[in-house]
Amino acid sequence: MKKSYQFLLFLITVSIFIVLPYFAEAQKIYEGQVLDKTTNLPLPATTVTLQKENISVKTNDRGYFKLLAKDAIKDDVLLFTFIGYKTYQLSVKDVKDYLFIELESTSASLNEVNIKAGKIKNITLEKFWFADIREESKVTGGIMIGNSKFSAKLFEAPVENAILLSVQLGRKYFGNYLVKPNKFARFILHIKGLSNSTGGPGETIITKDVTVQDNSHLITIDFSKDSVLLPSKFFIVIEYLFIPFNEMISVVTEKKAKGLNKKGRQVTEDAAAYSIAYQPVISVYMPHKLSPLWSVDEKGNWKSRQSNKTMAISATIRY
Amino acid sequence: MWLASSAQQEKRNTFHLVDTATNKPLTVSVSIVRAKLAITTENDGVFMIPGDLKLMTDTIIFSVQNYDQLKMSLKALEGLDTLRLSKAILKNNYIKSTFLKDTLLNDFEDSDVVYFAGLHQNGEGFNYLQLAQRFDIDKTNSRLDAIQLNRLSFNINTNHDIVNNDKMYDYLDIEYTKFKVRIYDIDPATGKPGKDLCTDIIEIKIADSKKARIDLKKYNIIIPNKTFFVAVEWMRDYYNAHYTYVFNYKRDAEKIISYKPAIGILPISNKNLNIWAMDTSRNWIPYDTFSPFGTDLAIKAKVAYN
Repeated sequence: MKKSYQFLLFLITVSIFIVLPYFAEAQKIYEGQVLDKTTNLPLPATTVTLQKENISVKTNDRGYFKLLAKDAIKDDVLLFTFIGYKTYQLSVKDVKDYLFIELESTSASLNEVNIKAGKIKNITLEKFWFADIREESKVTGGIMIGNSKFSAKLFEAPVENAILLSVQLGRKYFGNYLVKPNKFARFILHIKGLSNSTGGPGETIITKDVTVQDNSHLITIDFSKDSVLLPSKFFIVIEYLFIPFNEMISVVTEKKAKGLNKKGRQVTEDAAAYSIAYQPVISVYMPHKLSPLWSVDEKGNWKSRQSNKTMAISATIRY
Repeated sequence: MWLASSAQQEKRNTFHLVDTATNKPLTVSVSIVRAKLAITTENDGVFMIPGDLKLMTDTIIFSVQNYDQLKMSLKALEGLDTLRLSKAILKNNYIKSTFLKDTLLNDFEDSDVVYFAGLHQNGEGFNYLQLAQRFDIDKTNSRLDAIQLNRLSFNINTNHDIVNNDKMYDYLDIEYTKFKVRIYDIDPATGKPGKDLCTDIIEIKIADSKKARIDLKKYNIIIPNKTFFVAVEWMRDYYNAHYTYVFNYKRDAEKIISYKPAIGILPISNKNLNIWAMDTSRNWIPYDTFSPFGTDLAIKAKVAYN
């Protein structure tokens, strides 16, 4: 009887050792965006599946997804499926951070179409790469504006009257030990012409109120239905809204007076000092050339300064 | 504690707040209405107002839980040294009952809490004395057993990556706070927080944690109606004092005094606004700073019923 009991205990112990590697490690979050490989536009309603755990979610309007793996299985695979596109597989071992998944269409590329008069081209001005806005990018920073309500970037199109199709922004997930991240952002996007007198942003061509309620790192604003004709030089302007919705809180320390010691000297101690900054935090990266960063000063005038960094804002146009 | 300090040489008017019956000092919430100033006295019940009281036209209110409120003009303080507060006549609502079921109201995920109330208000200091969350239940005469509230904290003390970094030692021990919890019935006439449902003083101290889980069973708090409020009462004293940077109209950063804790706001848009704020006049008003996307505080409540 004793031997039977001991053997049973041995079996249970061995079983645990065999099974243990396949047990849940810890909960894991898989997060990212799914985009069309050719156009870089988001693919909403893409199914994202964790194959072995058998759970799935669909991407939202921004192609954004967030999948919580409760029983994170070491050798599991993420599958990305969307009708009209080739399925993409990714081993979870290869997932480091926020994912940018590009799906390839199963039909021929429609970038260039021959129509009556000539070819239509879609090009992206000031294109930035996913690597430019990744968290681990050493040069990725962010513009957290607390002291300028507007930031602008100058674009040059190859022709007059190109049609604006979309604007893309790279947004930094700004959260570390001393900053509370906030995924929510609301801002105003202006497309403005060039002012001949100042060389800065001039007349407004179109304005859109943009709200983001997920952790999208790449924000695409669609203008394809707005029939926006662009001058050859134009500005994309971000107007920051200093509203509670956009608040991000960070902490530093300041001294506060505690009282006087026996020698009559002021004694101080550390106190929390909170700062409030505002979303969106636009990623910056280093382009191959110096470029001007435009902002509005306290008198409401546009001013620029040359910088080796530029905001991760691009514009896709058609001509 | 000072109120409305001035850089000039001014007369210092010092007052002692005591219990009428025992003459013992009281920790009192002192608010000056139009100036929107408020502090909480230390345990010694002492506070000071600089300046010539005869020239002041504002109103001052002294308030302590379970005591009758004292309201007077600042002018009337001239020549006084000691102010006495009397205990209110409290109704005993003790009901002993056995409850078979419980429910959790206003549940939320900790990760959802990204906004916080208590740092500033439209570029000024946060001047509210209390914030209350409204709860609705289907039953009458239930019992409030526990609450959890989330507040702003960076968990610096318990984050070993920071603690082990020599540069971060300055950040230790800056997140401690204390506050009071008040439980209110609904005022049937106004729908606002009404009378206290718990006469015990519930004072909570936290060191570093983002959340406070408070067991209330021992207080046997019976909720007579289908609506009640859980409020955080700020203790605006030296212990809780810290700073917030805000931008003025010139976009310069100003450092203003704020009081911990900053209470979490849930990013949800309910049909009704469920947050009420007590201003320096001790009136309850809707707190809509984060509306329409933040209609509830990060406070959840566990209620037992039959």
